[in-house]
Amino acid sequence: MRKLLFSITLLITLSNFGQSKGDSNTSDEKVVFVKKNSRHLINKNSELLILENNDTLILTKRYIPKFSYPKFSSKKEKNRFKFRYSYIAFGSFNNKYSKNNFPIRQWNVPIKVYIDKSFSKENSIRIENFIKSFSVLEIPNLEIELVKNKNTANYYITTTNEILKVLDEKKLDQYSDERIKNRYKDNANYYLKNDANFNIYSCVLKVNPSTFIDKNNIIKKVKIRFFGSLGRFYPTMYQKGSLLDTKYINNDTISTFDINVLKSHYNYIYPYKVDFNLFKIIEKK
Amino acid sequence: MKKIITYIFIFLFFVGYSQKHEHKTDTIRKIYVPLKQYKKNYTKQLTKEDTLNFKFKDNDTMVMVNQYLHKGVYVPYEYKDSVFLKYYKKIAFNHDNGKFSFDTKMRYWKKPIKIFFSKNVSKNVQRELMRFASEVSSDIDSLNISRVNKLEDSNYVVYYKGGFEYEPRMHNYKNSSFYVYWNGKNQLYRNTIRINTDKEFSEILIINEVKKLFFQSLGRFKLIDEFECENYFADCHSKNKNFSKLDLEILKYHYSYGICKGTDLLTFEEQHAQAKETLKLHNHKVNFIHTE
Repeated sequence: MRKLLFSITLLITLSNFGQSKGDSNTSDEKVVFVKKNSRHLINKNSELLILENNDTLILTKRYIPKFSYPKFSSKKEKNRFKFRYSYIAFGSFNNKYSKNNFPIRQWNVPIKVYIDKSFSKENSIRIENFIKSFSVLEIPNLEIELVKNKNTANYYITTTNEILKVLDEKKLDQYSDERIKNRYKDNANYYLKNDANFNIYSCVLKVNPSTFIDKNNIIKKVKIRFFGSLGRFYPTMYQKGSLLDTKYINNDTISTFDINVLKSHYNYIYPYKVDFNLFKIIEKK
Repeated sequence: MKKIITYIFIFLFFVGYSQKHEHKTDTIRKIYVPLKQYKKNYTKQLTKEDTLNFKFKDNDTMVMVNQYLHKGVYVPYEYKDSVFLKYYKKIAFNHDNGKFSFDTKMRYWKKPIKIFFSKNVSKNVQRELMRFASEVSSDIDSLNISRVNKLEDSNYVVYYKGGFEYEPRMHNYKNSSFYVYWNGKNQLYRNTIRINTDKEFSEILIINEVKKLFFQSLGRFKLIDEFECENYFADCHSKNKNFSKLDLEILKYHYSYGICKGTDLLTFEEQHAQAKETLKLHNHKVNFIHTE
């Protein structure tokens, strides 16, 4: 009996308090925002709030992926690859020498390639076969397919008569004379569009056939540029057989090194900006 | 037995308290206005009876009135918590060159948006944009968007590079962009979207770009990096981009008359601080009066 009376009293007390709070003007406030995957959070290890059912706050931790390189036969080989991948993705072996500290660029949408009709039939087929060869590689988070309707494409390979400039004209004073001489103009180049997180969502690859002395090199150049556009990769002088090798010799197959580059690069699609410093933190995790 | 009596006593005390609490909500409403304002807005001459009801507050003589008079539309203050406002401010107060300033203004469309498409804009793109415009504005009373067939009837033009340049200021822009005009009250009154088809080479890319630019132009918004990419207010790309509940909530608030329109950031901050303080201290109803 005593306990019953006590419970009734307690119940009435609490219900009074509940009504009083419910009547206040601030009770219907809603937090209607999502703060997730912000690049600012990664080093602070902050918690974040997300919206659910219009008025529920949930605290959740930001996801930092565990980075994994492909398997190698020896540690030495793996270290060599890590060193080279770092250069290919960031243009730097070491942060000390990276002036710009450009972030990683990744495609975060399936790549839908349309090849312009201006290519000869033979070249068109050769490019198609090259593009198709990516589908058997099974790179996680990277989808590449050919489309026949230009309006559904986000990657356009086309020919042009314009002079293609590799270096930004406004920044020419930043480059050496030799580099300007060698790299200012090219016979093929790609133009990526990326968002604020440096995720790529479209590309135009242009080739100027009239600038090729040996027409067989057109396909070679398309292949080199296409591969580079999969992550705005920097070319290297130290990897024979790779599409990133500055002295690439046309090859029908994609090298193991190149496959490993793609596997490492598309290990995880970062929904935030990842520069060299941040990558080193992720790599060690 | 004594204890039982004590519990019954406690029980009755709380019932009594509860009734008293309910009774307290039947408040007598008295409205006071400063004497200066009374003379300005009220035609009725003050009587002796009125002077008996005078009150003094902050060196001002307050006159009791039956109704608060002010020309304009009364809209109750729309409460939002500080976290919401933090993100709203980042979006609505788009600082020039990203340089923070309390003078930065929020901008909005007062008049209905009337969209004209240039001839080279494909039917599919036109249809997709109008469908999106309808989705975005359907739950917002003060945002009206329609399509017009004559340029002279429009205040919003969508066109592609390579045809007639409807906005000469954008003729040499490398990227697809929009150019918006506003008046002294920070009301947007004209906009142009120019699509660079060299970069947006397919319909799917044009549709994504035109929707993004259109959405931004609804308040010359700054897209931010704190939201998931699926939201239109996020500055990143997603294949699953959609007009989310979060987008709607922010856009609705931007077009809500429960806040002051076209103000600078400092005024916005001050008004919110004042309104929240009033709510907290006195639990008073706060109204915004829109005089136009």
